Amino acid sequence: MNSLRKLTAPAFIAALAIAFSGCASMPAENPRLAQLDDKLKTAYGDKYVAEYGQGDLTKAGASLAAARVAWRAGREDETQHEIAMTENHLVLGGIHGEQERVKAETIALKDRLDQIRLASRDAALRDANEKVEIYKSDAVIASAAIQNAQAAAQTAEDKNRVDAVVATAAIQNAQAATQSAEDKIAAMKLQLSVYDLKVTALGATLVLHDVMFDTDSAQLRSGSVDRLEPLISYLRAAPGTTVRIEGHTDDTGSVQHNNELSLDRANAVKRALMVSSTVTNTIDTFGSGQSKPIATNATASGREQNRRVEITLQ
Amino acid sequence: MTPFQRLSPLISGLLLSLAAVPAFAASAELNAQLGIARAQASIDLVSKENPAQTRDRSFTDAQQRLADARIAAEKNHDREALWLASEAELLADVTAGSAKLAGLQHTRAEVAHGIEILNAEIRK
Repeated sequence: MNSLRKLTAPAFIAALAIAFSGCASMPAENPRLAQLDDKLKTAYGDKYVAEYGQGDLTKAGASLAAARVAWRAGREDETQHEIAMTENHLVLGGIHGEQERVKAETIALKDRLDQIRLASRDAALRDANEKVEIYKSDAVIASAAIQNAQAAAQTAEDKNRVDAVVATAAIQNAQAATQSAEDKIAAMKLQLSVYDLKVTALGATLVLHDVMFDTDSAQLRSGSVDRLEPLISYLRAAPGTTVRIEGHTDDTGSVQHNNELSLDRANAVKRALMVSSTVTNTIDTFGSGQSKPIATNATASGREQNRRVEITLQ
Repeated sequence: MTPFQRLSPLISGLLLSLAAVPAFAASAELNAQLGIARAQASIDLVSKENPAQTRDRSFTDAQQRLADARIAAEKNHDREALWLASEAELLADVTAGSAKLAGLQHTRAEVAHGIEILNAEIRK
């Protein structure tokens, strides 16, 4: 209602000014005044100027009416003054309207700016959240990797510990075996001290010399079996021991004869050992003839040493 | 009725008119001086608050009109002096309104520029 009232007065003045200009009985219109009529109409057509420059347009309308009256009365100075006032009121009304238009546009731009900032902030927030998720995922992966590494390290440590235990046990076993072997050898040495005993790569080897056989004979001399008694006792106590009996001769006679003789002598010793039903050891015999002399065959004592039976315990 | 009695109304009217002329002249002079004072105040306000606008055409016109008004007032052309003073005051108001409008347009341009910069940053 108020705005209607506000608009009524200037509109009335403008209409009055325009009505004066259209009266046929009046003198010819001043073209400058007609131009100002158009400008006033145009100004009222602008919503910002009409609303916020309303006071200026009212004054412009009044000045224009006064100019027209002065023009018709032939008062040129007053006409020019009122025209100048009309023009400047129109300019000021336009400025006031434009001020409000610019304010409205600025507010709209600020709203737009706020929206963009908000959208930008949301986008930044989304990016940040995505990065957080990625970092979380990386952290989970890294944590899993650390756990795997720790587990692997633990496994390796456990393995090393087990290996160390196994190695220690193996060392202990080896030491025990060594000790056992040494003990066995010591016991063997003690039991078989009557023999010429030596430790070779094949095992403990004892040597029975020619004195057990007659010359060129594979028949054990009487009483020779007694010499085997310590060995029989040992084998009875060590049934797992494998026995290797190898016969040897000097170079007297043919090679074939000596091979046969040496094997026969080995077998003779085997038979003597087997007489005792308590000996269950595995016994293998070999005849090497004159092929493995341990002394010169040029002397009688050398040939005596070469005529021998070697019994290896494995 | 004597001739004087017959003419007395006319003489009274004439005397009254003669008395009113100086009173009217004093009022017109006062109005002119008041108009000049108002115009001067408006121009001073623009100079103080918007010194950058003092080179505007409307402001120099206002100053010129005020100077002309003073000259007219000195010549006892009170009506003309009042017109010129009114025009000077209105031109000073136009200058002040233009200054305010320029400030608002500057603000609008800054906000628009801010939007351009922000959009450019977002596009990156």
